[in-house]
Amino acid sequence: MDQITFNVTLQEGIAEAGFMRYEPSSPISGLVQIVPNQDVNARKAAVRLRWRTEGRGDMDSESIGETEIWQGNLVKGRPVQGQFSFQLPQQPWSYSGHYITIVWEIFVYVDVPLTGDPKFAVPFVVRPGGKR
Amino acid sequence: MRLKPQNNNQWAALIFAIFFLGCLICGALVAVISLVAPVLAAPVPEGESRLVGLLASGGTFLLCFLPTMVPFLLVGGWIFIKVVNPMVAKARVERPEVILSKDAVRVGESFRVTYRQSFKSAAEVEKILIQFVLKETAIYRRGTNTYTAVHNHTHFEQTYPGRSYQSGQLFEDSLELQIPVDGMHTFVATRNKLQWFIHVEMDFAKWPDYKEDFEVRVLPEMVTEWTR
Repeated sequence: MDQITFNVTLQEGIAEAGFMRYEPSSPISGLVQIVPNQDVNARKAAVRLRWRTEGRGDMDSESIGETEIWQGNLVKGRPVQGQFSFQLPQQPWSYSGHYITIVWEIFVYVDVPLTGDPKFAVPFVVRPGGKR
Repeated sequence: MRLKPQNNNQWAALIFAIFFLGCLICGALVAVISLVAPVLAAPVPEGESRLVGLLASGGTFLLCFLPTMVPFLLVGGWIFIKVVNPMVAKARVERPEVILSKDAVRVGESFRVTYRQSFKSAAEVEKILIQFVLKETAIYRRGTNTYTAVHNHTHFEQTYPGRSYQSGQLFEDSLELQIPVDGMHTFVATRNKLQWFIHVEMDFAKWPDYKEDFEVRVLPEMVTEWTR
């Protein structure tokens, strides 16, 4: 079992084809629940709004905003909850092509010193009008 | 709005190719002089011809120098052909005029493109092709090398049959194009690019083909009834 279980709920979007879709420049908000399955010596837990590219090319990415939802250690059996709210930019829109894919995601991570950070990402679609 | 052709850095490549070939020629001359001059300067032994010495020195040159130069000559020649061919192709035609009916194009929007190009000299054209493409450019590194992968999504294609053009004659057409409603806006990041181009190709008989790309910038906005 992973040392942390993440639950992320996205709000304000429109559910389409298994993803939440958001209009460019619209707000995106949601709820994050972090359930420690063991004691974790952590600095903080945070939520980040970002886009990144996937595919043949080396990755391009940009973080649009970050919200800290917890500071300090996580204790087994004591879930931590936090809310986030961001404003999406006008671009880039989500895209899936031959060599390039543009992925938007809410990225949650726990900052653990001297080891790999537990992390979790929920992809969503940014595009007007419900296409692609 | 008037579109400009993409800059392919052809002048830089041409300068590089000339420099590269110049280095090769100079190197060859120096090698020949350094091999031949001592033979010419040395006294000819009794009963021998100076020609024997020259031939021996020439043989040494061919054996030692040329094999090492062959890869350089091939690379230089290839670069030269790649650079010179498009320039030769452009010698037959004037710089084209590509005019868009709108200043800015949005996703889902229709627009008109007018293409106008005159011929500098008489030419036998086998085919003219105009395409509207979404070009994906992905740049990636493997070890110390950098590669570029390109994929074109062709959204429109118009082919014009071959015919003869006289000097000063004009090729002109006007096309109605549209960015698809489910299309993508222009996206340019450091290593990944999505760009719309009007691609023009003219195939000449017994002459290098003319190829040019004109970028159409597409805004990250969807066309609506109000903005159409």
